[in-house]
Amino acid sequence: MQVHEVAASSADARIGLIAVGFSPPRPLAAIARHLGWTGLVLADPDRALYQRLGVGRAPLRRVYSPGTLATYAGALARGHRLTRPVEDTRQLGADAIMAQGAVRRLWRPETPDDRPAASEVITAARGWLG
Amino acid sequence: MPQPEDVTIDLTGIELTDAETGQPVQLASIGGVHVLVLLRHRH
Repeated sequence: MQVHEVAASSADARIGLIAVGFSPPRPLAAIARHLGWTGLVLADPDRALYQRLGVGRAPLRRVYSPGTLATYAGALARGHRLTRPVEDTRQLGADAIMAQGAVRRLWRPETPDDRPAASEVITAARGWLG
Repeated sequence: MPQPEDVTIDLTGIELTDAETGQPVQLASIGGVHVLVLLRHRH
């Protein structure tokens, strides 16, 4: 699930959208502006929330899949310089419903692209509205 | 797709930073219902 998919799927203003990343605040804000994310964008460089929710890390073979390697190869072929990542490339994401200060439903993926459909998450969120 | 888990995980004490303003945010103090999208590393 992508941030923009949630924003597009939720026509209910009672459901907020919060994106959490582990990049430092300024680079994360720049990404959010570049991609036009709506909603609150929060930085968690210590990954405190990731740890609280038990969000894991992917094995290397899952992170550097043939598709990802092909993307890098294509970028090199186009003359792009690749830089060494400064963040944990194995950190997985997750999706959750937060209500009344607690997480009530949680989707924890086993691979980087293993995310629920935005419609599934929005439908679940509606169930927590009063 | 991952299977959803019904949980109750208290977020008290989780302090994050508003990326735009740099201000601290106590996650548990945000009222209402929200979808949380935890990002993975972006290639």
